[in-house]
Amino acid sequence: MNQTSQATSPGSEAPRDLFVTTRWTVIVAAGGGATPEAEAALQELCRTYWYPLYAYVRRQGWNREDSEDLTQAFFAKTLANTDLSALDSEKGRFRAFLLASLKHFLANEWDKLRAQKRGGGQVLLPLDWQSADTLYSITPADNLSPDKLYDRAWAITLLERVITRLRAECVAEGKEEMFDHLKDFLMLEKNAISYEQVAASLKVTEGAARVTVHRLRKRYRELLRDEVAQTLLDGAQVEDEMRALFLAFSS
Amino acid sequence: MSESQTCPRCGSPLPPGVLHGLCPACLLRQGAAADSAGGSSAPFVPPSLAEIARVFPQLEILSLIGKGGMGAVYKARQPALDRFVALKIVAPQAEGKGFTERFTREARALARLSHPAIVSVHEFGEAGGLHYLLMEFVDGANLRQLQRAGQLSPREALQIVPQICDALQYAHDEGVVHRDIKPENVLIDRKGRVKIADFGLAKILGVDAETLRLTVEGHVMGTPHYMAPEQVEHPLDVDHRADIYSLGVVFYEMLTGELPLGKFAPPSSRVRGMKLDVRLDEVVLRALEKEPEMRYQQASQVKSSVESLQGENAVTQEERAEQQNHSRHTPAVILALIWAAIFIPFLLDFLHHSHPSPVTGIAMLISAATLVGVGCFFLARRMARVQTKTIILGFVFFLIFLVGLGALAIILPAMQRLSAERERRTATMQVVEVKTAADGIQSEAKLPQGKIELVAVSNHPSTGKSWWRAEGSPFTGGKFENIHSHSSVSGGQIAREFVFQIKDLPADASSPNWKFSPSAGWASGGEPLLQGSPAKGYQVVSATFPQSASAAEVSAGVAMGPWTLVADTEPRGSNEVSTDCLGTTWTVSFLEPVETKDHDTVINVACMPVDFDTQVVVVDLEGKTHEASGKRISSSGPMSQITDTFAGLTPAQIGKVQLQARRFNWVRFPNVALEPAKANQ
Repeated sequence: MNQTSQATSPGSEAPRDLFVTTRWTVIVAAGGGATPEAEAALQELCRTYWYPLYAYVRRQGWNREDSEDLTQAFFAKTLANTDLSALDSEKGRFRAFLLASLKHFLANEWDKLRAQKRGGGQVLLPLDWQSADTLYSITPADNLSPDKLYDRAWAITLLERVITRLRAECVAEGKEEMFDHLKDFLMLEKNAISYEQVAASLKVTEGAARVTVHRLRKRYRELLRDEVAQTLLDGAQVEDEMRALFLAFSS
Repeated sequence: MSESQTCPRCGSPLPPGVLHGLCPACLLRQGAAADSAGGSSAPFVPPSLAEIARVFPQLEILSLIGKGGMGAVYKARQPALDRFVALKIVAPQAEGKGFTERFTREARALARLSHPAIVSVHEFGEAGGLHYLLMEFVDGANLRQLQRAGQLSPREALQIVPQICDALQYAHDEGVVHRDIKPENVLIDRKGRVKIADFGLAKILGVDAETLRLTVEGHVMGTPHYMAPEQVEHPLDVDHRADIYSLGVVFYEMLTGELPLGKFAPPSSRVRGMKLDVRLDEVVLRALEKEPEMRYQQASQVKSSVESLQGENAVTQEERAEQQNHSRHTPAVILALIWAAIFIPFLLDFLHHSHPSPVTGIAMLISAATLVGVGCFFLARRMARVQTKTIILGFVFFLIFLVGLGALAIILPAMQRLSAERERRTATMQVVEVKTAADGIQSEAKLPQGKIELVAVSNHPSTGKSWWRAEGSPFTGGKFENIHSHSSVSGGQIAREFVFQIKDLPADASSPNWKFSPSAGWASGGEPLLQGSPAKGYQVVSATFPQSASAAEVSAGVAMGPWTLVADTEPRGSNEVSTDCLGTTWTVSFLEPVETKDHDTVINVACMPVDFDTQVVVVDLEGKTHEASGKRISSSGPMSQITDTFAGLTPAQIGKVQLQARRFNWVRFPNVALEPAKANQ
C-alpha cells in the first residue's frame, strides 16, 4: 500500500519526529493487517473518539438504545476488519476516515445488524453510555448538522484530552493551583492578557508571570499539535486539521 | 437540562461539564497561533474587529486599515460626534521597559500638537490591556502609495515639501521631534493637503535602528534608510535636525524615485524626463548633510529655499530653456502656430465626417505641404553656413516634399477608413453629444436613457446671488440656493456652482460623476433649494477654476445598464488580480472578508482605474448572487476603495466575491459661461 511506505519512511514525508509513530500511522502502516500494535492503536483511538460518532448517530435521529448499538457495532466491525480503502479520498485524516466509514456503515449495514441480537457475538468496548447520553442531552446543538456536531464533538474530545494531559503535567510538578489560575489565559489573545493581574494573583513579579503564562501556552500548543498529529498521516496537515476543527465552531 | 452557556469572548456554546469550563473555539484559535520563540518577539497579530469593538464599545469599528510589527490602525466612527477616526493600537510586543510611563508622557505631548498638516491625536489611553491612540482619520493616500501609483512627479514634490516643512517647524517649535519621517507617514488627503502621521510615535515605541532591522515573521519591518546618521547611532538621543535629514531623504526619493544611498548622485542627474534646477540639488544635499551642524537648522529654511526657487519660476531647467529658446525660435513658433491654426480645424472636420469635403482635403494637403516647407526652411537655415551645399540641400528638400505629398495620397484614404471605424467605435463608447438649442444654449444632454440638463450657474457660495444659464443669460426659473456646501477658496481661484436637473434615469443608474475643465481643485456637492424649498430631481455641484477662466467644459458621467464582471476571488485570504476588461487593465485587491459581530460580512476591495462605476457582489455557496446592503466608495489618487457590507452572510457562506464594473456615459456641456453675460449686469 502506498501509505505504508510514505508513513514509515522517516524524513521528507514525516517532517516532525512525532509523526513517525502516531497511532494513525501505525494503523495505516499495518494496512489493515492485525498487528498487535495496530490493534492497540486503533482501540486507543476509538476509545478516545467514540463520543463524536455516537453524537452523530443520535443527531441522525436514532434513539439512545439504537445509537449505542450502532456505535458499538460500528466499532466491532472497524476493529475486526480495518477497511482502509476509503483512506485515499480522506487524505489520511482519522477524523474524516471514521466519519466516512460510519456513514458507509449506516447506509449499508445497519439493517443487517438490526436483525442481530443486541451485542450478540460482538467485540465490546467498555464505553460509558450513561455519561454520553447525559452529555448529548445537555449539549446545545441548535440547528447543527450531524456532520458539524460530529466535528464539534471531535474537537471538544480532543481538547479535553489535551487539557487533561496539560493539567496532569502541572499536577505532577505540584503546580495545580497555577494551572487553575492560568487556564483561562489559554483562550486569550496574547496581547489581551493582563500580566499585572496574573502577577497579583500568583504573587510573583510581572516578568515571572509573563514567563509562566508563556510556558503554559507553549506547552498547551505542543500538546494540542501532538494530539492532532495522532490522528493524521502527514505532519503538514496539522494546521489544516486545526483549522477544520476551529471551523466547526463557526455558526 | 442545564441552561446552555456561551463563551463571552466568541459566542460559541460552552460544552457543559468538560474542558474545565474553557471555550473550545477560543482554545483552538489560540492553539492554532504560531508558537513564539520568546516572550516579546512573538509576531503581532492585530486583534479582530470584533475584539476591538468589544474593547471600544463607544466606537463603531469599521475596518483594519493598516498593520505593522508595532501596531495596527483601524478605521472607526464616533457616532456621538458623527466623525471618522483612526484607532491606533500599539502592539503589546512593542511594550518594553517603562512603556506605560513613556506612552502617557509622549502621547500627552502629541495630543497638544494642533496643526492642519499634522494628524491630530484626539485621545489616548489603555483599554482592555491595549494601549491606543484615537486620531484624526485622513481620507487619502500616503506618499508611498502615490509613488507606487506613479502619482508623484518632481512638480508634486515641490508642492508637498513646503507643507511638510510647515508641520515640522510647528512641531519642532513645540519641542516635538517626529523621529520617523518616511513616505508611509506623510499622508495626502483628498484635497491634496499634507497630513503627517505618527508624530513622536517612534519615541513611544522606543524604536531604534536595531528594531527596524529586526525581521519579524519574515517581513522586514522597516529600514533605517530615512534615519539621520546620528539617529542610527543613538536612536532616541537626537534633536529636530534628524527630522530635517529624513525630510531630505523623502525629498530626494520624491524627485528621483531612489534612495540616497552611499555615494549618491545629486537629484538633478537622476531625474528622468524632466530636468531639475541644479539649485534644487543644493537644497536637497544640504538637508542630507551627514553632520547635523552642516544641515539646515530649521525646517522653515528648507521651505523658504524651495519656495524661492519656485518664486523665480525656475523650477525646471526645461522651462527656462524653453523661455530662452523662445526668442531664438520666434519665427518658427509663429509659423507653427499659423500652421496649426489652419490645419487642426480641418483635421477635426476630417475626423468627424466620414466624407470630408474636397475643401478639407485640399486644405490638409496645403497645410501638410506648408509643414514640410517650413521644416525644410529651418533645416536649410541651420545648414546654410556651408554655402556649397545649399543647392544640393534645396534639391533634397524638394524631393522630401514630393515624398511627403505622395505619402499623404496614401495616408488620406487610410485615414478615411479609420475615421469610419472611429464612428462605429463612438457608438459603442456611448459618448453623447449635447443638444444645441435654437438660441445656441447647450444645456441639455441625452443619455442612453434619461437626460441631464444644466439649469443654472452661480458664484459660490450661492446664497442670495443671482443665477445665470449656461451661455450667460440670466436664469429666470426661480431663485436657487445651495445649502450644505460652503468651502473656502484659495487665492487665484474662483468657485462656481452648477445646478443640474436629472430626468428619467433608469432605477439602476449610478449617481452622476462630474468633471470640470479647466479645473483648479475640488468639486463637491450640496443640496439645492428652489424658492426656499428642496428642489427634487436637481443636483448642485461646486467646483473651482483658475481665476483667468471665463468658460469651462462641464462633463457628467452616469453609468447604467448591465454590469461586467472584472474579477472574482474566493473569500479567503487577500488577493490581488490584474486583468484586462472593458478595454483597460484593472488591478484589483481583494482583502480578506471580515465578519462583524452581527455575523455580517464586510468586504474591502481596492481597484484601479477609477473612471468606471464599480460594485462588489458576492455569490453564496448555493450560487445565489447578493448585492451589498451597505456601500461605500472612496477614491484616493488612482485607486477606488470599496467597502461593502453584506448583511446576513458570514464569510463562510460566501463562495465568490466579484468586482463588477460598467462604463460611465459621459455628456459634455462645452463652453459654459463662468460669468453672467455683460449685458445682464
